[in-house]
Amino acid sequence: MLKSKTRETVVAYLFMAPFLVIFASFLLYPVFYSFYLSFRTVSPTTDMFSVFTDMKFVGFSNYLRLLKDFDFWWSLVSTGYYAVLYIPLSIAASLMLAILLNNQLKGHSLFRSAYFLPNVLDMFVVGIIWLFIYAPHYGILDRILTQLGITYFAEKGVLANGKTAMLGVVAALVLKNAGFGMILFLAAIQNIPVSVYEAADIDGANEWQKFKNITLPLVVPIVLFLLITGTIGALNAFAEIYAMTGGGPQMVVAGKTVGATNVSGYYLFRQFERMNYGDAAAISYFLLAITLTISYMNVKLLHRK
Amino acid sequence: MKSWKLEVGSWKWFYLLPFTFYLLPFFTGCGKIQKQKYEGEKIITLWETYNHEEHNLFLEIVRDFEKLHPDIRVNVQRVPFSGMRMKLMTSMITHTAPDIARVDVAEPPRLVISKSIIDLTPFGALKLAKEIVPAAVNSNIFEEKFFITGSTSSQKHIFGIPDQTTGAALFYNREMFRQAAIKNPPENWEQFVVIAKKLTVDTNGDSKIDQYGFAMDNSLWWGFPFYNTFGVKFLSADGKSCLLNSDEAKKCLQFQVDLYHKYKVEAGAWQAGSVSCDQGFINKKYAMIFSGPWNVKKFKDSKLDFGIALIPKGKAGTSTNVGGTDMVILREAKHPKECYQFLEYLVSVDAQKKWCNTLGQIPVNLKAYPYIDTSKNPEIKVFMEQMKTAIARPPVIDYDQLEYVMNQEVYTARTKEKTVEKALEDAVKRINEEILSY
Amino acid sequence: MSQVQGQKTVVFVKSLILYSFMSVGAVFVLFPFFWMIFVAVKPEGQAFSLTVSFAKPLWKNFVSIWCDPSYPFGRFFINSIIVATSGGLLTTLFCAMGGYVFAKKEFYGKNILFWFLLSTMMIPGMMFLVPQFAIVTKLHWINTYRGMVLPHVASVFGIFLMRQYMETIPSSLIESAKIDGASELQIFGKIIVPLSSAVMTTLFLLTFLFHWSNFLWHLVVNTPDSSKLTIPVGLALFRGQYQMDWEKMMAASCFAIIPIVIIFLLAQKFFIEGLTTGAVKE
Repeated sequence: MLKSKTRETVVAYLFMAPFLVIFASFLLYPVFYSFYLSFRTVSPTTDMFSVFTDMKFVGFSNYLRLLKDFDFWWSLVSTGYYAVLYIPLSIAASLMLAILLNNQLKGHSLFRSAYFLPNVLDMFVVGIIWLFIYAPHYGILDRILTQLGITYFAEKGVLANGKTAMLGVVAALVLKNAGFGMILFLAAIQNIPVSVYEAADIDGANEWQKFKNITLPLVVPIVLFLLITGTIGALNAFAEIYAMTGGGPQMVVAGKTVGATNVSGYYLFRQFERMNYGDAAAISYFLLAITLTISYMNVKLLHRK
Repeated sequence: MKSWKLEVGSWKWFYLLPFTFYLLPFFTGCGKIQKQKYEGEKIITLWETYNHEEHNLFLEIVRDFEKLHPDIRVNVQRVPFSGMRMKLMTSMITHTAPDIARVDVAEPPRLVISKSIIDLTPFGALKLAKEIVPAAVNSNIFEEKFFITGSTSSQKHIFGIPDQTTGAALFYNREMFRQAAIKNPPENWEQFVVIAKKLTVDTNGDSKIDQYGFAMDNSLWWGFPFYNTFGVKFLSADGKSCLLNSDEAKKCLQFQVDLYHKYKVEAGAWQAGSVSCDQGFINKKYAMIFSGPWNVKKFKDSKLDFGIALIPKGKAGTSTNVGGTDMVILREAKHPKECYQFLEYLVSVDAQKKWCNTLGQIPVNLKAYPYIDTSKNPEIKVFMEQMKTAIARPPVIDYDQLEYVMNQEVYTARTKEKTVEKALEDAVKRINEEILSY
Repeated sequence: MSQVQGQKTVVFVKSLILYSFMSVGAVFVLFPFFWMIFVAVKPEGQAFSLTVSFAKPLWKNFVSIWCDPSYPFGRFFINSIIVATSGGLLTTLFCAMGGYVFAKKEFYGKNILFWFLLSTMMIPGMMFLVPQFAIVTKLHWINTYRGMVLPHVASVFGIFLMRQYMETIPSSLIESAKIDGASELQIFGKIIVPLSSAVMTTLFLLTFLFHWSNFLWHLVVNTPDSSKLTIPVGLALFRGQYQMDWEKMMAASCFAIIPIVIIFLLAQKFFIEGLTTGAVKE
């Protein structure tokens, strides 16, 4: 038995060799180096020609400063809000699209391509378009709603309203990314042979039972995948914020001014832009710890089912 | 063995794709980038972030310079504006930085303190500086005590040469002015409010305002015309404390907030996700905005009937903000003297004449002012006049963070979530803590 | 007779409903593209003006980006294709191999390695930018295709995706093949790969897309005068300090999207093929 596992191990690592070589060369060193950097800091007088060697050792102070930073905690809260909105919505949307498009109608390939296409667009372009839609007074959404008598968005539009700004960003992103999840679900559903469904039909199962007992279990690995990548995405999200709201609108929470859409990814980006490499590294590792915990819990949860 | 060979069919031809494309470059003569032979010449590498039009003209100016200095070769390389800072940072780390770089006017302080750029004073640059528009060149001048730790000297040093300067002025829609029977643009803020009120109207009778007298952007950069005309000082003389909780500052911010809440002439363009000033102006929804020379052509092309005026006068007269870029020489440049010679040429009257008359931009060299063909670009006159009283931004190490903090606090004042006083007090506290203490 | 007709009507109505749902959604979802084309045919500076105006001639912006000497769009395009295709192929291959062993083999260090790899995926990519740039500089891979592609080929996302799919391949297939005396490579090449062709194509597409739009890395790894600059860097040249050349940028974006659309449409064939190759002979 042991010999067999050893043999398996050798084979496994041989198969992984190409991947691991590249990984070790280009990813391992940066990972550990970033960790090392999180204990150092950049000051304005740091020599930009040798930033990394000129950074000063500061021990845990970057991490401690983070723990005391209201802005950072707020960014975690708004990231949580973002994740809770985005992840379920996008998984549901992708699944629904996959079921909708899982047919053999003429031109179904074209439709599937169409739904995937927004994924291909630059976030910048998508952001501009949604800004048009969400704008106050002249935006498409407001115009339609005021015709119907709803003037809620007339003054501020969607993105200047602290309550709806995040929803607006999430909605735009779900529509953009639904196609990606749809493809994954389609691939999984189509891997289920027709014969299985036919057998179920013969046994007298109805649509819901077929869905619950055949489709759903085989789709669970994808759901898990989307959950974990969604969590990681939420914690690193910044392009959509950058394109649409720049972290705003500003609100006052507990006496401090914070941005309603200032998620942790955007917070990190700002530190990085200002060349605060030490702080940025500390934030990354902090976020890593959080993501790892959440992912681990997700896996345990779904494996128990 | 059972036959496991399944229909894998056409995906094999995917492998052919890269091969065809690998071959293409060889056939399409991709080696179009000239590789010239430089012999015994001093080569200077310069990174710039101009748009297409400017870039092509810049190459001409470089050629003119090379004719005058046959032993110097300027290697111009084009970097996208949004990526310049990142490229510069990474190139410095790997010691592959250019000799000259075109940077935004807010960059020099940090570059100076980290000793990344060369002091141009030994080349006699301070004399040259006297010929340059003060607002433009002041962002490059620093006192010794700013960048030498422990020094108390106020001896001035100059670290860069501006290649472009620009500022905002008041743009107004002449058609709307005519309709409201207004003859002239406002000269001071009191007149401004009166005029703006007349221009904030309901144009189609649906009892909703669809034309606004004014629209403003929230960011600090666009707020400077207000702050400067009200005489607000940002930093103390020693640069160590923020003075935004002064009475003038409070009056100024209150005025801005009132434009929206009290006088109701502002369109709410300062809000996140709203229709921007430029867009609203082009689409005839905003009667007056602040904007700069870069929009003149765009507005003209859309057949808008507009005029440009000086920023209305406040307690401290008329003034505006200063945008633009500076050319700096990096520390590891191999031929600093030749680099300086090029920069000297760049701001010379000849080069400025060519540049500004072709592109319709404001000259940085005061001596070039008389040569500007204002019949070709009449709008330039107003901007040139405006730049005379423009005030450069406060020199801080991290201007971006200053803007960030100000934008946040000012936003809460505009939404009335914080009073003007509290917003400014909080801003001062944060700026003192986060930006000025290092 | 009438029963068959009745069934046919039901099917027809069902299809009609489906078509209408799909079409409404499609219009909604394709709107950004129509907007892009709309802007690309406008004259300069009019991107956001509500007046409907057209450039003379209509395709002026499209033509000018190909012919402008200071903007070698053709070269950007080819470079992007090379980088994205090779990146896609390499990543798909490496990740398929890696994902397979995580899904189907038990070996020492499997769990630890997997979670370690997963953790590196949780660190934001921008943190790696500067160290990777330093490594690439030391290797003298600046201004090369390999410098642009190879560092990003080890995609943990890809391995994770492959693993999730390959887990669903019945182990019985592999067992039977082993009994028949197939070698590891044969099992991989003749069973696993064909059964995963759908997800491998998906990974190829996604990786292609990633490399196609990888602005920051391509910008950093190339010097400004490199002959290997790609489309995203080119597009950024339209963004000036105060204004953007929207019309030309949209025209360039339209061109940039075409290869992806074509590849995707072609790849759609695999999903159909995936359906037939999924059939298992039990």
